[in-house]
Amino acid sequence: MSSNMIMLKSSDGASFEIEEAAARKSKIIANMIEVECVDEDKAIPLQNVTGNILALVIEYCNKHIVDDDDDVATEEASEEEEEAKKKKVDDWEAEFMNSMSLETMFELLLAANYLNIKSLIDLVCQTIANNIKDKTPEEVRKIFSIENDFTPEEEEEIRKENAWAFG
Amino acid sequence: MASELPQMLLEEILCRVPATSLKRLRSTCKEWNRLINYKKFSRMQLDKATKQLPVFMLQKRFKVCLLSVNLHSEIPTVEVTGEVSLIEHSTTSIKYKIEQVFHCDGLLLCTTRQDSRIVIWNPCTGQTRWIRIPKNCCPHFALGYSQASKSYKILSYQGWDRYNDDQGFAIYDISSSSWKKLHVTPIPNYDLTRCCYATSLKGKTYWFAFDKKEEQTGLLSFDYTRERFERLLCLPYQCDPYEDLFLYLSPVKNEKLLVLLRRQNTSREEIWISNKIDDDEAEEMSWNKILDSGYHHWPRSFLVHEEKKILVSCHRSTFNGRRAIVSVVWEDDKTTQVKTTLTPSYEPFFVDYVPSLIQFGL
Repeated sequence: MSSNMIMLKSSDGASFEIEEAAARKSKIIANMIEVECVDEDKAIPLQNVTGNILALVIEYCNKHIVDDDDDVATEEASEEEEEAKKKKVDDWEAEFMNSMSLETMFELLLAANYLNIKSLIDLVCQTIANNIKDKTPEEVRKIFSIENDFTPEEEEEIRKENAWAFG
Repeated sequence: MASELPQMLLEEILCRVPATSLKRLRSTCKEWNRLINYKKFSRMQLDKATKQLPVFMLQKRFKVCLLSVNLHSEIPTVEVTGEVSLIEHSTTSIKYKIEQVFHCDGLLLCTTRQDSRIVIWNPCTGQTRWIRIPKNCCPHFALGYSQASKSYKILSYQGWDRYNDDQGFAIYDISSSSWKKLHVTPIPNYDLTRCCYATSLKGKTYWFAFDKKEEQTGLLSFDYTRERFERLLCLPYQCDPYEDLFLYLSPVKNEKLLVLLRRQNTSREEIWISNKIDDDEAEEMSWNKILDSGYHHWPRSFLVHEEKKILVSCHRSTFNGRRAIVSVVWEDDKTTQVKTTLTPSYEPFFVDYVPSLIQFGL
């Protein structure tokens, strides 16, 4: 194991080896590294993240650390190169999100929030938002496990208010 | 799992949902309804939600239409996704005749020549506020946002060379429902040129302006927080105020400015887009040319698709029942015309409209 690799341990006991630079995408882990509470021989326990979700988080971090390195190396890259690179990342992210269920997305969002990875929070929120924008309130309640606490009259009232405008 | 979402994450998701969809999702549950109606949330939503572009409005005599132009197929298509009349609720039979529309943050400030009132209207929520205009009021109106009072304000202003004549400048604060005379400190020697092409972005209003002393043209802005005019920002190149024409000024996706300039010596028209303009615009303005085309008879308004380098405009056909026609101009001057079923009674025009849930006043 090279000196800049660290170990992460999921709530269900799975261990993952990750480059320190990738792990630093998480502000929580970055802080731990800063204050030197990371023991080289021991894995960092992440009690709120299961193995299958942690694997996704690591996949995301690994992908983005490479791109950040590229940014430094090619600071004077032409506009077209920048655009092409951005498109590559966008395509990868779309593919990455496309491969998972809504249920997994919510778990990934909670993990990203717990580990404090801003760009991943943004990506998952945007994907869920795109997913629900054309759905009915009934469908959305199912997705979010929400009870309808409106009376039929109250619901009708809101529908009437909306009738005055675009929608 | 979704039911365990902290409120903060729920907000992060919902503020990325377009306003027109959020309105429908209000009836999901009481918590969502409260959140979506919350003033602070609507500002967050305005910043973060995917801009539903190209979506825009076409003005008819009494109505505005929400259009969706699909530029992804080879032959563009135009679909009317919404249509709404401006109706005064107290006298529902009278429909207000909209003549001018000024757009800011999904709010429309509509004015007319016949009426001594103007109206501020959010077509997405249906909220309206009718405002009586004082006598001897300046003929032009603009809408902006004051960070200090967290409310929208209307500026009534003079155009052309009467800019220095501060008589009559007035400002209306929507939160206090009152007009007051505005004692602006005039920046000497400036003219507002083509003053009808004012546009608001991030709460401020911008105009083409001419510095008579330095003999140069740039953009002048009005800050509604400090209630004062601000310095001249540079245009993409040094325009000759007597030869070149500044034809159009408009916001792009609520974050950048667009200008259309016509160089007299080349007979070419150029469209430039600025860098992102932040609330505290400390940075210098920089410009990127996205389209350079031969002379077209530009109608009153148009939209630009920045990535595709496409320009979309609209006019009324002289035949065929005076239907509205949407023209799409590509970078290589190729033009496609798409017929619509709309029959506007005036020359139609676009507003680069961003649906929002912004509420004004109390």
